[in-house]
Order: sequence, then structure tokens, then C-alpha cells
Amino acid sequence: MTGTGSGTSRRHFLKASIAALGATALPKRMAFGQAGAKYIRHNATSEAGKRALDSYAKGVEAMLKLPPEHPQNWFRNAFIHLMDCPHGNWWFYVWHRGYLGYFEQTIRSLSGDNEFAMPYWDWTQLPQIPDQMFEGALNPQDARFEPYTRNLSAFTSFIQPALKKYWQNLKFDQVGQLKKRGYTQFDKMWNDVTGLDPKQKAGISGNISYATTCASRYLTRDNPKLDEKTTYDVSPFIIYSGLLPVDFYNSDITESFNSSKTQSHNTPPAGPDSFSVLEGFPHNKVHNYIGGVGPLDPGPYGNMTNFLSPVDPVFFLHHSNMDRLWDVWTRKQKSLGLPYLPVGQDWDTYSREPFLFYVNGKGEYVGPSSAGDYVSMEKFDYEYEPGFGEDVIKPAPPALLKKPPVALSRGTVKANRAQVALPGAAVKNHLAQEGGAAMRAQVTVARPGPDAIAREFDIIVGAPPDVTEVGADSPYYAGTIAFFGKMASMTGMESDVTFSVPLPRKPQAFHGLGAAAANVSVEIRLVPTQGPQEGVTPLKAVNVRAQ
Amino acid sequence: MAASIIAVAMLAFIASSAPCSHSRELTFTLPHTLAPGESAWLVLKVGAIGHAEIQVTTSDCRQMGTISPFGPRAASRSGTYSLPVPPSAISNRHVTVRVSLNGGGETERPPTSRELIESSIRVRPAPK
Repeated sequence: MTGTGSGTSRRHFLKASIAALGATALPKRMAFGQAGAKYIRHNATSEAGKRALDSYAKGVEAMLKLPPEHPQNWFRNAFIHLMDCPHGNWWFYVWHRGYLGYFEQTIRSLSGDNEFAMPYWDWTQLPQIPDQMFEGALNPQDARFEPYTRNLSAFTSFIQPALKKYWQNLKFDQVGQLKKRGYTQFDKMWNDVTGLDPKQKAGISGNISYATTCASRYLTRDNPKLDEKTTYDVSPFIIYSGLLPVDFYNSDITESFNSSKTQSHNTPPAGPDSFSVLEGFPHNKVHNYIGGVGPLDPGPYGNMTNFLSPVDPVFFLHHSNMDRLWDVWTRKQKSLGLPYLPVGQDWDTYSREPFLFYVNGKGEYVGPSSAGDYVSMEKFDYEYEPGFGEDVIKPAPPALLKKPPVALSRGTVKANRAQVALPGAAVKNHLAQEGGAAMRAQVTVARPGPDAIAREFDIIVGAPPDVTEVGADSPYYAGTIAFFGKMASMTGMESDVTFSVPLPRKPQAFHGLGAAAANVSVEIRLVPTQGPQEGVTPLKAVNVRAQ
Repeated sequence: MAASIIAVAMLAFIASSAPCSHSRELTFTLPHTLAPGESAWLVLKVGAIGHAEIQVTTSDCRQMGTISPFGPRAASRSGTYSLPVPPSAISNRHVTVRVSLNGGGETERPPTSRELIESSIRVRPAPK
């Protein structure tokens, strides 16, 4: 096999997967959320996001300087997570929405930035920690953390007396929640800080939630990237897959957007935990890798690996992205006219779950609240700048109706290759346009016979003759069409099939485009995704429509 | 929402060989060839593996996902994880994957039956 426009085989592997999920065919959403919220959570890498990170650093520094008795002290805030966070159950998203929302209020208040909203780290688009998170108070290895986290003794003497006092004044219902969690006394909670296992009467290095300043985060400015495994777990294929379920909860975990249904957010399920794709893979793996699981085995790890993970400021960017994906999923459900919350008795059970440990932006204990208070983003009046995954939301039909009429260019087909003459102006418009593709090919092929081996085909546009294979990152790659099933006995299965294929928005695919040329001749080919095969499905017709 | 079409039992545990050394090969058969829009999912029930991780790859070592329990609680309990199978990993209704356990102080090796308790494959219906 000769040349390729592709990158790695892994990318090649991904592209067919994404195509099969149908995500590539969906146009990108072009605007912010519909509500017109007061606060916008920006991508951390955008200019607005970077400005927000400046404010975030000021807020973190202010929280660090607060005395340990203050509910908004940086470490006291992290203990809310250690004492009450749900993981592996269906309150995971909603509890963290409340936690993040109140924390955002605190940063807004203490930074003096009245417009502050927590930026998100879109790891799918940027599989490395945003550079600004290695600066000043945004880096848990910074000298600002040193007085409190330089060693366990210093940390204990700073925070433990205030925590014990807090513990002694907890309300009855709060004590009940902690008991469900197994924290029947203060020392049992503290064991999760030190990693002490009372049964073994020994510390387990991997379970130490506290981390020394210098070892608080595995990744550094010189080594900021997620490794290959973690990058895969935040890849488009995994994220699209996680957004795919249409049930808020389903006992079949492959059908469920959320993890296990449990008795309370502090109790484990009767059986094994079931993790949704998004919690089980991108959420968990990013946490653990930043803490150093793998490179630092067997621990101790950095903060992100255990339940004092909010000591690392990157925690809130990570969870902002998780919350954003919940919002994307919710809007996808709405666009499909499907439920986006539990219904019936499930809603009662879900919404009444008490969340009792939050602290608001004024430094006040929120007091009794419940999950139902946090299912809507209106509670904190924010929305997200669009990030990865928006394209799973189907567009509003009226917008499509406003599109200008389309022109059709008919191609000529010979030996599985089509030549199409495209208007130069239309190609330029296509290359310049954002959002959905302005040029789409109607590719007609004969359905593979019952015994055909090749059932997936890559569409190659405008490639040199020696390019016989493409990866997802190739400028000539226009998608993969896939056939399923050997349904020879079913009537109607012998007909040709036509696919609508967005053409790549890459100049290399239209290399004949010149300033003076009225038309551009483009070759469109079909090649088996898995390499050359005998009896390849013949290309029957190719037409291209341009807006 | 209709339940997923049932999984089909695992066919074989086969000793590993290069290039994915230190792993176990699992082969599954789908109940039927996938129809348009359907997708295949692995469902893995994992035992208490501490801070170790279970890595899942295709038979030729391409990443499919890493199970990485978060926090001491998750690490000390069993959990069920599902992960999507890329269509290119399916061949004639067969899916072959490799699983290995490493991290948390463990040298990379195939997981034991207590660490990887159950594994199955399911077909997920086409999205509405």
C-alpha cells in the first residue's frame, strides 16, 4: 500500500468509530445557551477564559489566607468534597453542580470580579493542563500553599482543630449523612486524610488524600500533557459515546447517562457500582492521572487522585467541563423531545436527596437543600461558551429553511472514481464558511452482497493518486460509510444506497482552485477502510450540492 | 427505553502473546451483526483493585479505555464499567480485546478472576 494522508493508526481507528456514531453528520451549534444567563463559563483557553483565570487566582489566594475557622478557607472548602461528594451514583452531576456553583460565588466575592464564572477545561480539545494553571495560586505546588501543606504535621495543626470544632457543631441530619458515609466519628474521616487503615493498623500510601506541596500535582509546566491512555479516555469517540444514552438513568449501564441508582448519595449501591461512560472514563482518568496514578505508583499521589482533590485548583476546571457535558446532554435531550430528568417516583427520590454541607458566596452555611434545587443552571444563572460535543444537539429546523437554494454538480463515474466539476466560487464559500459544511456530496454505491467482506469505506476527496488510505486527520478524508448486516433475504436490500457526505473544509482537497478558474475538477473515491479488498462495492454516482 | 439486546457469553480466555504482553485476550461474539445505528459495548465488572488500573485494548493494542477507580472508596469496591467498542474492532461478529492490570504498585499482568470478575458484550440499539 502506498502513501497516506493519515497520522497514526489510532486516529485511523477513531475516525470510523465517530462516523459510525453519526456525530460527524450533525452541524455545530453556533450560539451560546438559549437562556441569556448572567454569567458565562468560558473555555479556559479563550481570552475571556484567561481573564477569568486571573480572577480565579486572586480568589484562591484570598481563600488560602482565610483562617481555618472560616467556612470559605481554601482547605475547608475542599473538606466539603471529602465529607459529602457522591461518586458512582446518579447524584454525581447534580451534587457537583451545587458545589461548583457556590464555589463560583465565593471566587466572585473574594476576587472582586463581579462577572466571574468558572472557566472549563475542555480536555477533548486540549489534552493537557492549561498553561495558566501552573502559575501562582492556581498551582498547588506554589509557595502560597507551602505554609499549610509542606508536611502532614503542618497541615494537621493548621486545619484539624477548626475541623473538629465544626464537626462538634454539626446538625443532626448532617451527622446522619456522615454516618451513611461511614464517618461515625471524626477520626474515621481523618483516616481518609492520612490513608490510615484501622483494620491493617497501617497507612495505605495510595489512599492518602493529603499531599505535600511539592507532590501535590504530578503534571508540571514542563510536562503538562495527558498520557496516551488518558487522552483516549477524553477523545471524541468516548465523549460522543457518553452523550449517546437517551435515559437519565437506566439499570442497563450502557443505556444510562448517569451511574448507579443508590439509596442515598452517601451510600454505595446494593450491588456493584455501575459507572456511566463520562464519569467512569474521562472523569476518573483525568483525576487520577493528574494525581500521578501510574507514574507515582503506589503513591502517595497528588491531590487530584483522592477526595481532597479540590485542593488542586484544576479540580474546578475539570468539573466545570463535566457539568458542561451534562448541559450538552440535557440540551440534546430537549432537542429530541426526550426526558432529561428522572420522571415519576424516580424524580421524587432523586430530587429530595438532601445536600447539607454547602457554603455560599457570603461564607454562610447553605443549610438544608436538596438535589432538585440544582438540576437547573438557572439556580446560579450561568451558561457555557460552546465546547466539544455541541454537535450532538440537533439544529432547529427553521434555521435550515432560511438557507439559500443549492446548486447541483453532477459527476461522472469510472472505475470507482468520480470526477466532479465544482464552481470555484462555491468552493471558496465552502472553505470560508464556519459550522456545517456548505458542500455535500451525494455518494451512491451498490450495497455489498451477502458475502462481501468490505463493509466500511472511506471517502477520499481531491487526493493525489498515490494516496490510497487516509486517517481522520487527513485533509482528503470526508468520512466513512458503513454497511451492516447480511440481510440478503430481506426485500429491498439489493438496491443502491446514497449517503450525504460533507466535503472536507481543507484547501488541499480542492488543489485545482485558482483565482482565475471558474470550475475546480475534484476526484472523489471510495476505498475500503480496512485496506484493499476484492469485490469492492462499486461507486455508482456522485453529485455535489453547494449552498 | 427498551433494554439492550442481550449479551453473548465470552468465548475464550486465551493466554497472551506479543505485542501486548502481560495481558489476557478475551473474545466475544455479538448476538447478531450490527444493524445501522447499533453499537457494541463491553461491560466489565471489576473487583477491588485499589489504585491499580485495568487497561483495555484491541487485539492489536489500540486503546479502548482504562478503568481507573477514583478515590479510596471506589478503589475498595467492585464496580461495573461499560465502554464502547469501535466498529473497526469488530470482525464478522467477533470482538477480541486484551485486558491487563497495572499501576497501584502492580507490575503489568493479566487481571485475576477476582480483579476482573465478569465481562460481556452488549448491543446497544440505534439512537432515536
